[in-house]
Amino acid sequence: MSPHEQNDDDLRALRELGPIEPPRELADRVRRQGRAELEAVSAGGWLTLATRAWTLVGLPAALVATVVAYLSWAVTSASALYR
Amino acid sequence: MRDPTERPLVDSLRRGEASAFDAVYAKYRGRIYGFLLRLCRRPDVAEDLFQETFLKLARNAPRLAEDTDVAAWLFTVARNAWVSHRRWSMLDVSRLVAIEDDALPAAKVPDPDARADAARAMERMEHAMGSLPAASREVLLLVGVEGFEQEEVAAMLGIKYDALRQRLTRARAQLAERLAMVETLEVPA
Repeated sequence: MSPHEQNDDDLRALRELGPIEPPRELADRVRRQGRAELEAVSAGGWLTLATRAWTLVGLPAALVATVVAYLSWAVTSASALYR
Repeated sequence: MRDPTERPLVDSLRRGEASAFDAVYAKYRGRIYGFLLRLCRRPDVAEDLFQETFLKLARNAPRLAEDTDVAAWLFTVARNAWVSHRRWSMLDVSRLVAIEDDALPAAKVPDPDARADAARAMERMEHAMGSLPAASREVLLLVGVEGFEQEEVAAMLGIKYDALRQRLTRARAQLAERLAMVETLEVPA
């Protein structure tokens, strides 16, 4: 006998309880809001992707390029002073 | 308990189709609301958590995995929302008593026909369930009422299968005890 088959009468009785429908007003409101949210996230898909790409790749790359450019300028300028 | 017919529904949800959201909502709203109402036993809290669960589905729809088990996903989110709510409520001393007081009346459920034996049995069951500790109620709702496999419930609750088995055994014993108590009280003197 599998563990699931052991004296499951009480669990079967629980199954009889069944679902409970939410109040009509709540059900309608959640459905409307859910549809609106879904529409918003679907429409904003490319924007989300672009923002993520900028944050993860564009911004760090720009920062690294700026720091490297500044350092090379600083080294060049400092060594020019001693010449 | 994964429903293979749901695969196209998940694909449509991932594409952001409102009709797919409607279909999932129609299929699961009663189960999720019933689960939350029986779990937290406060209609106002159940309504908030119900809304939170389905809005989370809408927000996360494009990021769902292709093989998402919608039922397991929804019940996990609903259960986590309840756990999170409970955690925050514990910080609010004024609500502490309300949450832990097992003497609270069971949540309002549709009135059963008092004349029918089956309806009386269900009413007794609702009362017995309502008087159980939250951890026991949670596991009985998922395994008993919702019919999830025990392995699935262990994953939802983030515990090992053996721990789930122990919790379920304890919960069933408590339920039998409470049911016997309710029946004893009903026997006319």
